[in-house]
Amino acid sequence: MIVCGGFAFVIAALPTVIVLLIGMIPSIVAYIIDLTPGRYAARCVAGLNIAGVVPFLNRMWTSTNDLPAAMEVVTDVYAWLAFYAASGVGWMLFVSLPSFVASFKTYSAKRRANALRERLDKLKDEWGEEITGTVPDSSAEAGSAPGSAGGPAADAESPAPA
Amino acid sequence: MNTTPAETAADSDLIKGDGDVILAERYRILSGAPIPELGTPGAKAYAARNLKNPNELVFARICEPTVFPRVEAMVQLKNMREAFAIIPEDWGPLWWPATGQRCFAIIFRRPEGAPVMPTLSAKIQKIESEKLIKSFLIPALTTLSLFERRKITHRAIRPDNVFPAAAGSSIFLLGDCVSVPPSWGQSTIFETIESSMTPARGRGKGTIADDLYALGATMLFMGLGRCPVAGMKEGELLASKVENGSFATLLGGDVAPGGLREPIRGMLSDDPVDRWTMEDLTQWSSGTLRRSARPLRDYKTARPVKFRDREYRNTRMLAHAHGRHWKDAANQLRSKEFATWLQRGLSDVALVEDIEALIQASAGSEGDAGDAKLVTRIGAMLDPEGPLKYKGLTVMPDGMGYALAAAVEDDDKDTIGLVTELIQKGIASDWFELKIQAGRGDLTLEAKTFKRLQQFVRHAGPGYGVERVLYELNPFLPCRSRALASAYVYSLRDLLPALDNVAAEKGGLPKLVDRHIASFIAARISGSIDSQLAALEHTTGVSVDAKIAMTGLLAKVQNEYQHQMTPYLTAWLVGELEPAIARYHGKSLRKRIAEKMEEVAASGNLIELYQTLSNKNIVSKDDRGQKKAKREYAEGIREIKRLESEEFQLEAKRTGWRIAAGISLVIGTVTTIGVFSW
Repeated sequence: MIVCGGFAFVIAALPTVIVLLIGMIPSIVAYIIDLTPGRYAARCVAGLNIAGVVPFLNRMWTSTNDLPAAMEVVTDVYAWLAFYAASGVGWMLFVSLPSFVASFKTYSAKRRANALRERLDKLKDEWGEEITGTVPDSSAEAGSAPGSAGGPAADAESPAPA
Repeated sequence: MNTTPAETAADSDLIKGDGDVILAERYRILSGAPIPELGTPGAKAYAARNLKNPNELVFARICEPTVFPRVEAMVQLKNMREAFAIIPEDWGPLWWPATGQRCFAIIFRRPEGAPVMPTLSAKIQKIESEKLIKSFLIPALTTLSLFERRKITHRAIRPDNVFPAAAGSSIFLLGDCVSVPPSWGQSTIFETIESSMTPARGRGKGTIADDLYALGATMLFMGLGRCPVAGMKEGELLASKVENGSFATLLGGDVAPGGLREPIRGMLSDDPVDRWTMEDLTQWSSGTLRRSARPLRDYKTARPVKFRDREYRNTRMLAHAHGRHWKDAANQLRSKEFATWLQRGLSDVALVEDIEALIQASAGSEGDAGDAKLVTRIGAMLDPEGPLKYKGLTVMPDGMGYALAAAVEDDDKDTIGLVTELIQKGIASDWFELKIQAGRGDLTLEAKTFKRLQQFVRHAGPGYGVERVLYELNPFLPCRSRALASAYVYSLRDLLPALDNVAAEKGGLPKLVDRHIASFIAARISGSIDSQLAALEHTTGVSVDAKIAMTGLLAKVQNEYQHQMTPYLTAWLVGELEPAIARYHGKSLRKRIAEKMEEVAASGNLIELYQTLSNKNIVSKDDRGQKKAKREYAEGIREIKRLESEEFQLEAKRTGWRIAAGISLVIGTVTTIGVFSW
């Protein structure tokens, strides 16, 4: 039923389908050759590719929407230029933007790591190597925990200050 | 020039140049003017002057450093003006040039005459009975009744310690009794049989009945004008007293002074139940004595018993011999011969049954411990009035403290060990129980005391043990710590200044955790120090915990005497406690504590020092801080690893792709909408 419906739609909108099929070839190719997870290359190309195809569809739909008009579009060198130029921009986006974003993110990460290292050095300086977990607690070697002597004594039972 | 507190303390006592010493800013003691006739074994006498009242005749006794005077009796006797006795006017430790250390000095009003008998071997003119009664007996009874009211005893009544009240006066005064421990310099001539069996160090303060015995003997010799037994050896004297009775022995074949035979005989009765009391004597002197005959306790045996090649016909002497040779005694007590002798030699059936039951009950517990316990218990049955006898140690129960003090002074480890054993194994408590069962209800308090001491001996840490017993039993004994050997610290009030002096002189104490100092504080302080003592007990004495706990004890003392700042001691303690700072985790906290300790060192405030090192809030804050730092560090390391990982790089790239795809989608959508709506 759906196949019949689809087939009927292709017959009815054949000029549009022809333009779309021909115009979206770069996207179809990108979809086929794209091996990135999520097929981001195809998505990048398709978004701009459609932007290049839409003006020609619009011209066809607003004048005569028949096969000769469709043939006229697909044989128009400017139309091809528009399809492929838009797709090229999509490819450029796909190629250049991730590297730029990754560089930016790496740079931020480095800064954050350096800041963290400084903080950890400060912590080590304040609390000693013991906090790294690589050396035994030196305070435990020096004696038991402070305050255990007469325990204090310190609060409840220690004499009031003079 | 800077002077240390030690120098100032010595200077304040000593007047440089002539060597005289000032006591209590009132009495000048002339160290170059000894008075031999007023001295006593253990305390020499010196001339003294009352600076505020030069007309008052006084003299001073300086106790030898190893002799501990009866401060508790001094407190009771001071200002007892109605007594016919030489009573102390003032006292206290001072720097004594002859010994080069602090000694205890006591000021007395000086009697205007020599002792009635210069020595026991001297002969004097007989004093008539009438005069003896009026001039000596009645004033002495007045004095002893005052003593009895204050629960103290004299224990030094003898003719060479009796003085005329004033030149030409007919009244006699009893001499000093506080310079040395009770009965310390007393000849056994003036001691009851049970007391004679005990070495002078273990006789204890006794009861007023012991004083009445000595009073009877003194009266007898004053009436005779001589002491017939002055040349007798102690062993012979004791044996004769047991065999013939004290009255007959001390008379030595003489005739008792006319009219005094009855009271002297009563005062010299060897049975404390039969001995005349204060009331009897008062009634007799007023001519109204109605004394009913009392049954005498008979210690004589029907048949002799042989022990170590000697025959005994008296259970008291047998018990005495058993006490001295306890291993042989145990063998004899368990022998069949002794069982036979019990049946035939003793007439007291109940006593025989009790002894047999005890021997039977002890069967199977042979060995040193069982034997010693058996001999002690049977000794108490054979001689109920006698001293406690244990493994060769003979001591009156109230003399245990003095005996222990003397043993500690002489470093007599055997006696120290025996006293400890007596208390730890509950033998002393059992002995008291036996006495209480035998009708000595007055010993209930002592029995409780020894039960309490048993708890102290069971703990091994500083503040407990035999040292604690020493100070509990001798409430005015000076602290025997080597650090304070020359300081004579008998009151808690003097402890911190003395320790500060030592720190100033020597740069510190020989050791911080000192068993004597800890026990001295524990026995004298009023508040609870259980937590500090518990901390001390679970340490070896050299650990930081022990040092802090000891500082806590000293801080407790300072809390009691808050004006006593100890800068030298505190400065030394700060150095000693430096390792305690390392136990804190936080560097800045350590720095703050070190700075605080520096501050405290200068102030001499031990309480602040202790609080600085043992404040629970700071400790828990430090602990929390360290735990937080550990967590933060671990998280930081994880975060750095994440930031530098390949996964992060990949994720960054993925983000870029997502952004690019997003931009593309937005452009496509905007273019479509724009184209169709245009």
